[in-house]
Amino acid sequence: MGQKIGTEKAEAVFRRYADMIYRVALHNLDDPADADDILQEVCLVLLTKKLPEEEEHLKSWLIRVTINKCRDLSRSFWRRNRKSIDDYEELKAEKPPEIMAELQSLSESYRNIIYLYYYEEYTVSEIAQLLRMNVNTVKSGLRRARDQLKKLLTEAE
Amino acid sequence: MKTNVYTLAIDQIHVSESAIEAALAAAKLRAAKTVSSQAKMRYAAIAASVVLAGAASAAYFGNIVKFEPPVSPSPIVPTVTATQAEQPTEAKAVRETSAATEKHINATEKAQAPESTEAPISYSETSNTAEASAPDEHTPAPTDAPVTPTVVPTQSAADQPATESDPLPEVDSSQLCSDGKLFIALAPTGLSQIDDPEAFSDDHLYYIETKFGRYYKIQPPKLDPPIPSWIDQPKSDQMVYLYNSDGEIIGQAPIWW
Repeated sequence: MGQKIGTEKAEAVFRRYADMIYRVALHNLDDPADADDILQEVCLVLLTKKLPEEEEHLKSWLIRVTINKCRDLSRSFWRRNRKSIDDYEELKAEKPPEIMAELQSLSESYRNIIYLYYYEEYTVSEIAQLLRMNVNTVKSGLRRARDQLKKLLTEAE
Repeated sequence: MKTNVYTLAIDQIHVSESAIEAALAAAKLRAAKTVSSQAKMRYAAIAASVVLAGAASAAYFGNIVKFEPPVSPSPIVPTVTATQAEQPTEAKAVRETSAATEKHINATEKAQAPESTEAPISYSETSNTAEASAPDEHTPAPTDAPVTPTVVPTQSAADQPATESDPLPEVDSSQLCSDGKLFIALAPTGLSQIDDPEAFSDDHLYYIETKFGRYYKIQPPKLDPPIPSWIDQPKSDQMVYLYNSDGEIIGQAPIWW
């Protein structure tokens, strides 16, 4: 692990990767408000923890931290037991793209695999390392996610 | 990047600048609070059981004061309680404390024997610090009070507080206060707040931090009744930091035990 960076540097890193963190959070939580919370959680980690020195490691480390934070939030009592006001009213100012809604029907690991493979352009082995999964599991997950998504999108059309 | 429906959709997702600013501001605030609350938790965890027994006589003892840590790292060695420490006129209490001190010294001596080049350990106990010590001395002189045993330190290190140029040996934290005692030598320089007992405010708690991250609450000095002091041969020295209740460092001093 590298070193604890200063506040200014942490800010710069945060700004550079804010979109990525938000997207990963949105993939995992499907709630812009929760994604905002995760953004803050990851920012706190950036400010308080030692970060990897290499840029590529830093990026994958941030993805890892974001996914973990999303899992923590998903398991939290508060999230499991709340009823969102969005269930009653359409108050979301900014809705995520339609495809995100389709993505949410996939399992969490599939969503992350899809995102990392297609958007962040990680290789299968890199995704396996990042998500701590077997390479073959990632491959089969990617295939199933693709098939499922294809089916969902076709049905939606 | 290959462009497809998915990547185009993801490309539309952006965090607003205001959301970034809000997250940054909140995270900074939380980071500051986390540090502060962690320190307070550490203070609170030990505050109840720590007693300073001799800070009032720092001037008389050449700025040597004694602390008792909250928890003795060695469960088999008896810890002198605050009550015992504050009953200097009771010969029994003094003897018990002396025995505990001697036991600790012997144990520590044995543990450090291969490395130590110091003279045999000696220490002194008095029932009245004001009577026992001259203002410019680091160790109290023997008195007529019931003291068992009474030995004047012979090591020159006991007469001179460690300086910053002294090497700071690596000491296993388990050796710290193994008998429930902690000796603090407050350097005469740069510690005006500590040298002057009046600088201690009854309204505030003071804390010291050892190299090992342990915190000890310092009770404001008591002048009446006088508190006995157990002067130990310094085994090694470390810097300690004196904090006020707001967590601000108000001084530093070498620590002896």
